[in-house]
Amino acid sequence: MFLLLIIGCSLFAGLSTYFLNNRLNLGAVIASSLMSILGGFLSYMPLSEVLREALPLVIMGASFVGMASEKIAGSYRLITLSSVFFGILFYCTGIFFEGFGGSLGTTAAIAFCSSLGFQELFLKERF
Amino acid sequence: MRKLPQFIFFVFHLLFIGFAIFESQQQLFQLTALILITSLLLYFYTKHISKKKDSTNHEIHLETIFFVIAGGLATFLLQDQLQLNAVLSAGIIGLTGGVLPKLTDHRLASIASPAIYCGAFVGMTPAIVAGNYIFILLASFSAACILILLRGDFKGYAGKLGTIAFAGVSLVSLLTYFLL
Repeated sequence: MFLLLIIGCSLFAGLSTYFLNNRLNLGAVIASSLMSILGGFLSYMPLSEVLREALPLVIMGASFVGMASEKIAGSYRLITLSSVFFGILFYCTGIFFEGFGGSLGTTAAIAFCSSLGFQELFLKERF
Repeated sequence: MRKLPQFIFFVFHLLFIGFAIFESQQQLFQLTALILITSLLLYFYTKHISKKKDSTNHEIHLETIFFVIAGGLATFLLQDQLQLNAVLSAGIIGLTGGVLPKLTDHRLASIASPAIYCGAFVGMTPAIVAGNYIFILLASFSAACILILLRGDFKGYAGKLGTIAFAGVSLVSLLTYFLL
């Protein structure tokens, strides 16, 4: 259940950031930082301690997936896949690098690059 | 030397996921998922590294160092002094840097925006790990040097700035571990 919640939040943040970045042309930094601020406020909501700690990190981390440019990502399909991979990676690695600056971005980069690999390997679409 | 940026990314991604796999040996679901994602990552790198790079020259902007350090210190300050959480602190500093290119056409604004956000990721390191402002200063400086080195690579790729920040923090953590 917790994994599904993480993947759901990841999909929301990744796709929303991609939309703000590439469709509304706000730029990657503004799109991601707006999503991070939204996620950051969740820490002050009356949620369980686990959710208050995890959800802001998931939302911020997945917003990095949405920072990808349209030229590289090409479609929402790749962002969807990357966001799912990010959710799974966060679920598996979340605690190991807690407090390490840049660990969320590294997780997002691994999720994105793996998705590009998946796309080329199984869907025969070159990146 | 031409492949150095890809190599840096590859090493830090592999270290990150390798450590996670090592720590997940007892959990079958985690281990399986991580191994599958690692296989796809390795496939990506074998294809990406064999690709020819465009020969566009990207100018070196030393101002990047200042902006990354400013982003790092400002984010850490918000956490340390105003007791804001790391995500909110980085979001606020990132947004401040992000709006600069919208407010002014000055050439530094477009350099400052990603550099400040990269620094903000470094500044997310909590005081319990970073210890003090000197750590953030050094980690931001390392991240800025890597950002300059990778300026023309992985453009438009998700997580580029985060990986650079992670590399900066890891290098300084390693350095302090061996020296102190």
